[in-house]
Amino acid sequence: MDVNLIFRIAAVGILVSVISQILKHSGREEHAFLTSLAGLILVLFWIVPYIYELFETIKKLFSL
Amino acid sequence: MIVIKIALIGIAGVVVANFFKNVKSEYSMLIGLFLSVLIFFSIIIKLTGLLEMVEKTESMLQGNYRFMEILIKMLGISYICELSSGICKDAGYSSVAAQIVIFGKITIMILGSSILFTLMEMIDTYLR
Repeated sequence: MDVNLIFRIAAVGILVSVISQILKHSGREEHAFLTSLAGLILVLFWIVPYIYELFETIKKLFSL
Repeated sequence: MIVIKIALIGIAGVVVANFFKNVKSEYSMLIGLFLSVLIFFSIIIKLTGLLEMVEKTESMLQGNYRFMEILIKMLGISYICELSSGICKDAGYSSVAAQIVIFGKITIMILGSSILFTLMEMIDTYLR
């Protein structure tokens, strides 16, 4: 739970947008779409445990 | 001291998220989401001390501890609804955010109605 995850997401974002630009200009439109989808899913994999942990803490803390 | 740290984290994150606004908009939403979760998490951890204090005051209340528990539950519900509606608003779906806010209000009203009912009972016993 620290700040460098933000910059990791930013790095994935930049990388994906560069790759999809390259793929788009070299005529492989569907590969570009797949790359951006993969980047999105990777970032979601990083974020979802933190969100789950947050909701678990709130549930435990406020006895919801 | 922690306030300054949180503020700087927020600003840095927003700057990074804004960079992605026109390049890849879904990443800006994801960074915004993680930022609010991070800041939310850091303040929730500090709240445990407060709740221990509330448990300690339970002896003074002699039995109607139920109201304190309901109050704390309301606090939790409003926290979660605030977080999720803010994230939905950032992503541009303000109607979903409004739905979440209304849902939170209604849940809190339902929770509060039991307190109101016990109050009414108390008044009724005195008046009779």
